[in-house]
Amino acid sequence: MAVFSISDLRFSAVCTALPIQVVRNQDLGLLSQTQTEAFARSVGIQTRRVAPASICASDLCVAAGRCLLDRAGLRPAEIGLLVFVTQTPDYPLPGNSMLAQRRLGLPASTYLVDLNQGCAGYVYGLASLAGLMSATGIEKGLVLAGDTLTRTVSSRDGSTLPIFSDAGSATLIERDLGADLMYFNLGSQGQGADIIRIRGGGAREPFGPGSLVMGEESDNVARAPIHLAMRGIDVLHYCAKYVVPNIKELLDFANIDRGTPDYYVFHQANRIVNDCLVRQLGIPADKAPETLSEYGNTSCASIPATMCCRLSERLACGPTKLLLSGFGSGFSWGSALISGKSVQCFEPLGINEADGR
Amino acid sequence: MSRETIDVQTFARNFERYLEYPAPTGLDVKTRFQDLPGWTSLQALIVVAGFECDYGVTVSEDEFREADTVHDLYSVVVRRMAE
Repeated sequence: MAVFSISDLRFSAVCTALPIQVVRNQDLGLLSQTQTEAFARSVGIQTRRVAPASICASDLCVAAGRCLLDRAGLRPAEIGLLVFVTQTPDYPLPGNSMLAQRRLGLPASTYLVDLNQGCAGYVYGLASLAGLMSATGIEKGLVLAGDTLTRTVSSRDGSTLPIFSDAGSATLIERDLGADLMYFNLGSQGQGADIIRIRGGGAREPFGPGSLVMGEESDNVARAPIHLAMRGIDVLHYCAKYVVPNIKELLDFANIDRGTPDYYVFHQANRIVNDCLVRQLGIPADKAPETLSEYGNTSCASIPATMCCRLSERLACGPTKLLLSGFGSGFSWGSALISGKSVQCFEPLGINEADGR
Repeated sequence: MSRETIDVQTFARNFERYLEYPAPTGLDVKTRFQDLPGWTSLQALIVVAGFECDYGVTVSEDEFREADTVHDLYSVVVRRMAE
């Protein structure tokens, strides 16, 4: 059981970058008008951000990282550790951390880590960065977390196409002696590996002619092995089974009750899942800010995007306790309890083209 | 909550309510729900969320796929509640 706390570190700044192209689900032509309305009402997603072919996860995250360094008044040489979280890397190899190091101008001595994590990835990234900073004594580190999942879904899959969106983020953690403890609780259940999966294109089923052959799964679901497949009912089932107990366990470990966090920032999966979490935790809905309707499911960037879009003023003006919770492919889940004295949350950047590679 | 507290007819009415499905078509416990007009994976997710809200249990994707009628799902929910 990975429930632990880390001292003397401060969550100090976060920035998000989103593609400027807005796609309305009602324009997809995949769902009838009645289905579109039911989808918007129940799943909660009306518009999404879709990156053009020229923009990858590294482009979005590097833009967010540059903005963060500029606005926080930091030089690249001050960053000693970088954790890059993505499941849509620019290349099979090398990892995106190497690409980001070059483009951000980080020193050769930077400790680089790539994490293959999905919607739980932001919390895993924070926990990994904080743990490594604690072990090494490094003063400042970045988590870059972002995905372009719209590239992975079939244009004929009504169960995934209207859900996923693209975004990138950058988060700064700094050493701060005496800062409030950061708490983490991480978990995974490998038996759920096929709940959210792209079967083809890896070493097990290498890309070939069969990778593109479409199969009809049901009335409005057709996809090929290279496309992302999601078992939505199992996502809800696993969330109810694992995510809520994970959060309760973290709060118990930190010795606080459910009413203490000022906000619960959940991964923005879909409204059905998120409403279930709010109900099971027994917290007021206004403690769980949402960006689903506007941005859709942006994978590992959804938590920082929601912080930047909904909580920036509150986080800038005083002490705030945040419970962050991510869950997704793996099946993996994780929660973090962060006390922000004054977190800088910069307004989201709109990205239209990559800025140098 | 025990089996006695779940009436199968109430379960069927709740099923209708989740789908905002009008009563005139006569959904009952023998209805093969996947044959309902406009049925998609979204409707399945909405129904499972309704179970979680009303009965405090969720069912797995495989359990849902194996069910044919509303009564089959009733049996799954009752079994889950007994666990």
